[in-house]
Amino acid sequence: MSLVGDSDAGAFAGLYDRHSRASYSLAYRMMGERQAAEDLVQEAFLEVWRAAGSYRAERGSVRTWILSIVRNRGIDQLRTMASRRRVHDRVEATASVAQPSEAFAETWRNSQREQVREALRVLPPEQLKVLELAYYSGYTHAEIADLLDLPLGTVKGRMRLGLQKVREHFASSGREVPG
Amino acid sequence: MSEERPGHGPGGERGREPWRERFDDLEGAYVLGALDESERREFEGYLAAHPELQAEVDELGSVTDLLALAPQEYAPSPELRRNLLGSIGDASDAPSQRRARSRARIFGPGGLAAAAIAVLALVGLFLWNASLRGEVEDLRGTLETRETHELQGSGPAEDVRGEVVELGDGRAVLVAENLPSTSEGEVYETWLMHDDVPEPAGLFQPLDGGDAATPIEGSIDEADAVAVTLEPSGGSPAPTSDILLTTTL
Repeated sequence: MSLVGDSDAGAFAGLYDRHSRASYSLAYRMMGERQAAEDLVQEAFLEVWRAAGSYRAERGSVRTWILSIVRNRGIDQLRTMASRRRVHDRVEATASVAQPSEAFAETWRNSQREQVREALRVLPPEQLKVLELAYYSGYTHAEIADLLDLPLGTVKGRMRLGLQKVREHFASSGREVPG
Repeated sequence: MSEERPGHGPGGERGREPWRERFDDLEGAYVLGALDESERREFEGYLAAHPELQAEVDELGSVTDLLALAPQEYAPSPELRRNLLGSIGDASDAPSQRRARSRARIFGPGGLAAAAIAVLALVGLFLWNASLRGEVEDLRGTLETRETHELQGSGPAEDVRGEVVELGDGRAVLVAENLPSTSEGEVYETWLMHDDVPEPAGLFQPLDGGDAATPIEGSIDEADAVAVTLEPSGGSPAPTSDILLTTTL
C-alpha cells in the first residue's frame, strides 16, 4: 500500500488484481447490473489511487478499506438515483446472498468467504433481509420499515439482533471475525 | 438526554439508563449507515459522551464489513482494468514489466533468496551469523513495505500465527509459528486457490519448535487465496483434509 501511496502504478495494478474481484462482486450485488458495477469499481479504485496515502493498517485490512470505499460510493449513488428499483425487486434479490460453495466445499468451508456465508445462514430470513436492504441498497431504517410495512422498532431490532447473531456465531465457533 | 450531555438525563441512574436503551436501539442501524442525519448525530453524541462504548461499536461495525464478502463472486471485464490503469496514466505498461521493475527496486539483484532470508529474520525463526545480519538489516526496511496476508488458523492450528509475504513477480513466502508437529507419514501441503479450486503449492515440515518458512510454489498473482492442509507424505494432488490455515489474497 505504501508503494501505491507513492504513486507506483505497478503496485496499484497489483492491488487491483488482488481486490478487483471482491470489489466487483460487491458492486454488482449493490448496483444489479454490469456496467453500473464496473463504473462503481472504477470510481472506487480511482479513490484508492488518490487516497492510498491515508490508509492506516491499524484501522483494518486493505481489503476491508477498499470494500468500504466501494460500498460507500455505491450507497451514495443509490441514494441519489432519481428512481429506485421497486422494493419488490430488491427484496427478491436478497435471496441470492447465501450461496453454497459450489466446488471443493468440504475442505474449503473454512475460507473467509464461506465463513461469512455460513454465519449469514444462521440468521432468520427476516433479519437477513433487513441487513441486506440497509447494507447493499442503502435504505435507512425508516425506509425499510415503510417498504416492508413493519414498525420502526422492529426494523432496528432486527438490524441489531442480526449483527449480534453473526458476531456470536464467530465467537461460538472459536473464530475471530475476519478482518 | 439533558444538561448538554447525552446519557445523564433524569432517572438515568435507575436500572438501565434511558440513554443506553436509546443507544442500543440505534446501534445496529448506525453501523449499517441506516440512520437519518439527525439520528446519526444523536448517536454520535452518545458516543462522544461515552467513549468507552467505541470498541463495542467498532466490533459491531466489523461484523457489518463482513457483508461485503457475502455476494456471489463475479469477475470484472478486462476492459475495466485497462480503462482504470489508462486513467492513471500507465495503461501501456505490461504487468510483468511493472512487477519486475518494482521487484528490482525493492530487492535488488538478491532476488528470492535474499528476500526469504529477510523474511525469516523478521519473524525471528532462525539465528543468522553476523555476516548476514547487515544484509538483513538493509532489507528489513524495504521488506516492511511488502504486502502481507495474515493466516487464519482453525482446528488444531487455531493458535498458529503466520503470514504470506509477497515478494513481487508473483512470488511469496509462507511463514508460521506454533504449528502442531506432524505425525509420521504426514506433511503440510500449501495450496493456491483459484476460483475455489486448489492447486498444489509445495510441501513443508515445521521445525521442532513449530516454526516454518517455505516458498510458495507457483505464482500468487492470479490466486484468490492460500491454504494449508495436512496430507500424507509426498503430498496429494487435491486436499484430503480440512484446511488448517488460510488467507485471502
